[in-house]
Amino acid sequence: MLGIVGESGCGKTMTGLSLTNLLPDSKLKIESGKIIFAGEDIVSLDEAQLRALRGKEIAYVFQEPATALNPVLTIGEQIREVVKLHCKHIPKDAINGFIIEHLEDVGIHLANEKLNVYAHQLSGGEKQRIMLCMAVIARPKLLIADEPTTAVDVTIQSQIIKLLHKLKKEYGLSIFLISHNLAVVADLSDYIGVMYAGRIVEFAKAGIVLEKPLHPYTQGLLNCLPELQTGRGFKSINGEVPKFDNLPSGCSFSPRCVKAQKRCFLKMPPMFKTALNQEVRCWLYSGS
Amino acid sequence: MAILRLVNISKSYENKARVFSAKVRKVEAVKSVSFSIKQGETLGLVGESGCGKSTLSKLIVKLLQPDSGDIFFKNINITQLKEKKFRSLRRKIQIVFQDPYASLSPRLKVKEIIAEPLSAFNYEKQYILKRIQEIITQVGLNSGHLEAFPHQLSGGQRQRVGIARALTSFPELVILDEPVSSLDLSTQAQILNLLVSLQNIYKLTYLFISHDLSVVRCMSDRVAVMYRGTIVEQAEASQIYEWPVHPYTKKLLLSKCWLRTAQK
Amino acid sequence: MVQGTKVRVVFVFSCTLCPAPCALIIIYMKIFFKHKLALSGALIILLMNVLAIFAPLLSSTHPEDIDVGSYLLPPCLAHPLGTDQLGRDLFARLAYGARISLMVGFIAVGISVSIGLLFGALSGYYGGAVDLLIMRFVDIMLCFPTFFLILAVVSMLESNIVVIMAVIGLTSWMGVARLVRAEILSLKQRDFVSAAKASGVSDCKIILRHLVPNAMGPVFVSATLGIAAAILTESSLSFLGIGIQPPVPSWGNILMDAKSCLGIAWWMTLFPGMLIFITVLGYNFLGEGLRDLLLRREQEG
Repeated sequence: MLGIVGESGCGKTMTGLSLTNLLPDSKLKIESGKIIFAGEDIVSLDEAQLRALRGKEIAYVFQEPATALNPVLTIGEQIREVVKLHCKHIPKDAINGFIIEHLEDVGIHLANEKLNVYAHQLSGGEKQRIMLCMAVIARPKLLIADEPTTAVDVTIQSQIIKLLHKLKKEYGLSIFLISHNLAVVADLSDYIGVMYAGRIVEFAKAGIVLEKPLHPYTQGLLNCLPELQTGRGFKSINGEVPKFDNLPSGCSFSPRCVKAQKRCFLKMPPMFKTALNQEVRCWLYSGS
Repeated sequence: MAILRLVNISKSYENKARVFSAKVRKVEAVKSVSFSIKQGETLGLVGESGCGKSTLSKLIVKLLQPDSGDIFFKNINITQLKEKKFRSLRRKIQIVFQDPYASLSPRLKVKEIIAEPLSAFNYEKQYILKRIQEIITQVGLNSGHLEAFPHQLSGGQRQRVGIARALTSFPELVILDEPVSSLDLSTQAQILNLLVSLQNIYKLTYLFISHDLSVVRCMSDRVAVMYRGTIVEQAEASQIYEWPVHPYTKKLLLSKCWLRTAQK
Repeated sequence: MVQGTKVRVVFVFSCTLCPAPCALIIIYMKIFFKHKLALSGALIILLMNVLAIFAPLLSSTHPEDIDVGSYLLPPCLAHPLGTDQLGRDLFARLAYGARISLMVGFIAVGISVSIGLLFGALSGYYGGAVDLLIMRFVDIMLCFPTFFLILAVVSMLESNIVVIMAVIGLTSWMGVARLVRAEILSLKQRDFVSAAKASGVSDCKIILRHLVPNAMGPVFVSATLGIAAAILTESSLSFLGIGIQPPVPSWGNILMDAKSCLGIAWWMTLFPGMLIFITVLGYNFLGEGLRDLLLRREQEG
């Protein structure tokens, strides 16, 4: 399980969307590079092959459950659509049972009643569970979860995270988790990638990143967690994420970095690898 | 002295079950809530979405009228006041909303938005101009932002504008209705810092509403926990985190524990 | 479920891409120019307005001047669109007629939009008894067959251009009122209205500064389409002889003149008919384009 963290506007969602080539505008294209999924390069696939891949092999959960469900169809109808599309081996009369089973799996109580319910009759947490159910019902290999806990309450956040844990274990899912909350990502992921202004700036095992964050940006993000604040006054990262058409020269984080040196403003650092197999894009570690 | 005192405030909404049925379902959003806030302190109000927090904040600024109970602002019973008389008090009680995207008028420039609480009361133009210049730097923006429209700003910047609007008229009580829950964590910390420093500058009293206990802990002197329209626990901030009494408070605290487990 | 995010992402992108204030206008212009329908509509309307404004320069003769002896001439060099049965230059009459027809369309819609905005805003903002009263009044107004109402009023009053504009305006505001009411009902739930109220802004200012400007998108669209309808109504009235009175030319009464010599002078019906058709089409195209432009952007925002 891989987690991507970063502030909004730093390219996390774009990364997620490009994984299934779902980029919103035909003008936006993957400029270079390959995305290799189960030995196949996704970039080179055509639209029909991609469609077969989406949903079946790679599923997607969006940030806002409220807008991701169709308001005029019942929950049952929407899930049935997915099942008919991707689980052709299920006989018609068994579909309902199959759905109910999965709904119970994601922790929906009274699942057979919920089949005939519309999206607005559900709470935010339930909607997010339904979205998860729709995503995993076809047993994909990879689940891309784009800020799955941002739009819901704290109590529900922890429930959703527990659920993701459970799904990962029971279904053998790989999860690509995108969030701005380092705590959420830390809890779920095996590996963490920290993203800033379209680039991965730190990449390592989750435990290592949390215990010994190297990049100043990661340190800043970690300090922002309200759970770790002591007393009044918050540690924060000053400034804002730069816009993509106005990136600073050198390291993109340099204007906001407290440890910036002269060369940080001149040249973008490459990825340095440290002893613990931790990769970091920062000049501070050019020696190691 | 208590700057704000709520006594047995209740508010319910009527919900028609079906279009043609006469049956009216009553939803009690706020059930006989009482608390008071002292001058200069921050009271944190915690609860899940839908527990009546926002209704309560709207009752205090008189966007809604309570069914029963009284609200005292500096010993003036504002529930009984007519809108005309209350208008002059409005600049003393201000509110910052959760969603910085929905709470700024999309067709107005930042300077017009910030000036609004003053221009509503026919202040001199010169004074307003001076005041918005002053407040915009205090919230960490610059005068260049005054000419911008809300959609040109980032979420954090918008929330700064929302805070500036609430503070232009020198309020004494500011209600912060989930001011950071729709923001990124890094921006969230910036905004919380800003709120703390502004509180010192203006000697403000805050009612800080949030669903996130950890944020509330860092901001508040006292904390009230709200569950299904009633306040179930009220105590000093340090006390409520160390010795939670009500089972719901315990549950809320537990739901935040996963971070600590992750770190181990 | 993909759609929702798509739209949001596009919006976020367009926001990050336009730092300068003028950039939004440029984006609007770009979308507008890409929209071929809207562009052609705007061009047609521009052309018609040029025709109307520069009528004295474009035509060599006055529309009421009679060229003795050359009546019912087909299009020729001296009279590019021919002459009518009294020997008046058809091009001059159509150009001057454009002034009347376009003005009637514009002002009538101006009247109907003002009334509609006022009633719609009051009704939507205050709700309750005010809303009930205004909306029932709208219902009653909608029950009248509008065209016969206009016929009746115009035939009772002295028929001149002011009466025509007023009557068309006064009988077509109901749609706008309903539109504005619906917009304001949803807008007044938004936080920025609560914020304004909480700051002690007066009702009147809230309506004028916060609600109406944000409700203008759909109003513009319906106004553009309304102009087309108003031009048609005026033409119909004039055609029936109770609209603009001759010798002042309007597209409608030129057509009426043509009625009597339909078989012998094709140019007299073809050209005014085409003008009405093209203008109405232009306004409809523009309205369609504006709808795409304004309303779609608003949904994204």
